[in-house]
Amino acid sequence: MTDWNEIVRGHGPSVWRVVRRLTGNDADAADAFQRAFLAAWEWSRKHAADPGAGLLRRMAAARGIECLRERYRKAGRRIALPGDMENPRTEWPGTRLERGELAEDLRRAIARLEGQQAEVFTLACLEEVGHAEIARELELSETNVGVLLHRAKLKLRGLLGVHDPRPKPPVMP
Amino acid sequence: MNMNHQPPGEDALDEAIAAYRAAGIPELPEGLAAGTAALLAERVARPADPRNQWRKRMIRNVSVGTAAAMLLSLGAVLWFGSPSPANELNLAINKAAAASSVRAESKTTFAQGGIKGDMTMKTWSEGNLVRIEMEEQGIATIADGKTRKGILVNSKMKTYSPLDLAKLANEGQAKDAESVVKSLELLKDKPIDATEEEVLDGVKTRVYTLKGIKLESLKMTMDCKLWVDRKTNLPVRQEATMKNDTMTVLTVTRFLGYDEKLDPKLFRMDPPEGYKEMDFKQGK
Repeated sequence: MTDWNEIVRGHGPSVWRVVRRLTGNDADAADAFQRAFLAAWEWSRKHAADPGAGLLRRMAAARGIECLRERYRKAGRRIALPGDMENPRTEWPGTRLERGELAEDLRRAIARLEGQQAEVFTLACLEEVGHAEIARELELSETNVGVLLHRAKLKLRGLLGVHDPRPKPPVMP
Repeated sequence: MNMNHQPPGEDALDEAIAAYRAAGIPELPEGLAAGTAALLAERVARPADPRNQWRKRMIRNVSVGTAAAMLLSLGAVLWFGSPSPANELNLAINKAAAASSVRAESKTTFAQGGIKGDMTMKTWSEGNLVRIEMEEQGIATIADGKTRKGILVNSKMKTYSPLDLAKLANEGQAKDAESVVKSLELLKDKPIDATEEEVLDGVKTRVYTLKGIKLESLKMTMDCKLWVDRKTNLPVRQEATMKNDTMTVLTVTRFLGYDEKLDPKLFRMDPPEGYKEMDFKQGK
């Protein structure tokens, strides 16, 4: 029989790390943390098996993304992103980094990705999980993972803005 | 000529990922893991399908009071399996919700931006009827949850205002007309952080501590302690601290009696003689 005390104690810190980084605050992270374990419990009941670290990490990413989407949906207004056509980026990424806003921009942008694109991007680029493992967890082929990741990155670059508006200095020989 | 001045990274995505990863992560909060484990233990203890599905449908479709009465009559231990603290708490709340009458007194203290205040309320509820008195302010509100009608009487100003609860609910002002037991239902199925035994005013109680309950409609988070009489399995005291970025509200409620025969005069909705009618919003 599954010992959920043991599972929560053993995997809690890694699940917390994923949801806390994704949501950026304690309240949403706590919500996503419990949702992740409840999802794992449902999975365990359905498959009559114990959830492993990979599954819990995937559940954590999915529930964290879910919380992000709810948060920005509740904001009740269109999410303004620096890369939007109507709202072009006017600041340097460096200064934005100093103000600690860049990570929040990324969260907003992730919330706008389609379901599996968001999960694949989060696992591959933010949690540094290998393509083969993601493919196994999401029941996709590695090629599919690569395609989803490529599309996610393209969309995120569009949302965050990749063009440097300042003129480049001349290259010295 | 110094050409070391390089523009920032050309890929904002890489920079955003770097910023994301650079952010510090606080430790897993104490109590969250334990609370989650308790929540899962409670789920595991629930009966399996199809009975569980039937129970869910039943609770969705009938009132909480009716469900509680039926559950109690079926035998709670049999129904829920071995009793966990979460199940025990649910049963106590269900029993309070099923009581024919409830009498309680609450003291609320609030602080916002350096301003502090407090307010004492006495409440009586019987069936659909609720009476809430704020003695100091001279205000009594009587409401009928079935007809959705009520009256607010101000004995200091010698005025009264008829209330349309349906309309006020739409405007977010009808919460006060709910039975005090309603607030306990927020605690159902929530993870319990701790339980302890305590003697309160000579009564043996079990104290349930719940933390970080989200109150979506109020945009606040609540920490709560509930004392349940071990003999009657009914709540006798509740301390709730609700917080958001700007405001802290502490409410201490004492449950003074259940299933008592209350004086029908408490729920009379005809205006007192000589009182002048006043619009509710003007009278506020």
